Amino acid sequence: MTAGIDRRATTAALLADRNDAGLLVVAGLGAPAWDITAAGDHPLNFPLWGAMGGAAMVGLGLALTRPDHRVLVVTGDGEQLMGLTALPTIGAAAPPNLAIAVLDNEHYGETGGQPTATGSGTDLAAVAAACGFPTTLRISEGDDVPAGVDACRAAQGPVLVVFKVADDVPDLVVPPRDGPLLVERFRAALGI
Amino acid sequence: MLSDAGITLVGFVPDGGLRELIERLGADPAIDTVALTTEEEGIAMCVGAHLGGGRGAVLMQSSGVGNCINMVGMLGTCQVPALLLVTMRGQTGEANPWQVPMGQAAGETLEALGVDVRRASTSDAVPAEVARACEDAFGGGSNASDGGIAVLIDQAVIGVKSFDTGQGSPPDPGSAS
Repeated sequence: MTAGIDRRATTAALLADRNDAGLLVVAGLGAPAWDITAAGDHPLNFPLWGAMGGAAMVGLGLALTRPDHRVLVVTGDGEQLMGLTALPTIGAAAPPNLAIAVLDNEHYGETGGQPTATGSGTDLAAVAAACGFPTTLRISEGDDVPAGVDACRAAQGPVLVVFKVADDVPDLVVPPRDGPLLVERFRAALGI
Repeated sequence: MLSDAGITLVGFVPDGGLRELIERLGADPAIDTVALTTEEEGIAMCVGAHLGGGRGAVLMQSSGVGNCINMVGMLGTCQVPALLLVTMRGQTGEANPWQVPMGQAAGETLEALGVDVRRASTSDAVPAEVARACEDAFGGGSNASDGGIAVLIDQAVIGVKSFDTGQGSPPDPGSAS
C-alpha cells in the first residue's frame, strides 16, 4: 500500500449534507460504488454494477435533464480512462451543474491491483482541462481535500477533480444490484 | 416527431443520412442535443435522462452499433426506455466494403442484447415506424419495451454514398513519380 488520501473519508466529505443540497450521485462500478454506499445508501445514488466507462455520461444525461440539481459522479481512474471520450463530449456540452470526482489509486483495485495509465503519466485533471472544463483540480495531499470537495459541490461546471487516493481495498459495502429497483427508487425520490 | 413523443435529449454521432434530422433537432427548443465522441456515450446518457425524468434517443450509423454494445446491455438490465435510430450502411449497393461487416451484423447484434429491433425499408415507412417505436418505448402501453427500441433505417432510404472522385480510377501507385 502506498501513501495517499483516504477514499472513504473523501467520499463521506463529498456527500456530506447532501439532502439539503438535493445532490444527485452516480458512481462508477467497483470501489466507488462501494464507497458511496459506505457513506450511507441513498435513493438518489445510482451505483453502476457494469457499463464500465459510462458513469460520466450517465451524469451528463442527468445534469442536462435536471439543471435544478447538482450532479456528482464519483468514479475510479480505470473507469474514467475507459470512458475517456466522455470528457470532450462533456467539455463541449458544458453543463454548469456536473462534477466528476475521480478517486485515483492508479490501479484496477477490483481485479487484483493491476496498474492503470494514471500511474504512468496520464493526468485526468489535465485531460479535462484540455477538453475545456472550467474547473479542474488534482489533489494529492489530505490537507487539500476540502478544496476539492468544495469544487465538486459548488464550482462552475463541468468540474473534474482527481483525488490521489491510497491503493488499499476497504471492506465491501454493496448497494442493491437490481437495476430496475435502483432506477425506480431514484425517480421516485425525485417525484417522477 | 421526436419532440411530439416527449423526447428531451438526443445524442448523435453524425451520418450523412442523419444530417437534416440533426440540424432540425438542433433548432428544436424542446430538445437538448449532444454531439457524442463515440456512440456508447449516448446509451449511458439516455440512462441519466431517464433517471431525471427525461426521455433519451441516440442517432448513429450502423457501424456505431458495434461501438456501444456493452453499454446497450444496461438498457435491458435497468429497464430504461430509449430510442435508437440507426442509418444503415453495408447493404445493397454499398461501395465501401469496410462498411459491410458491421452493417450486416447490426440488427442481430442489438437483438442479442435484448433490444427490440424494427426496420424501415422505404422512406414512406420511416415516420410510422419511428412514431410506433416512440409510443412503444415511452408510452407504457401493452407493447412497452423492457429496454431500448432500435429503428434501422435501410440504406435504400438514405441512398448509397458515392465515392466517385470525378477523376476515374485511382492512379496506379507504381506509376507515380
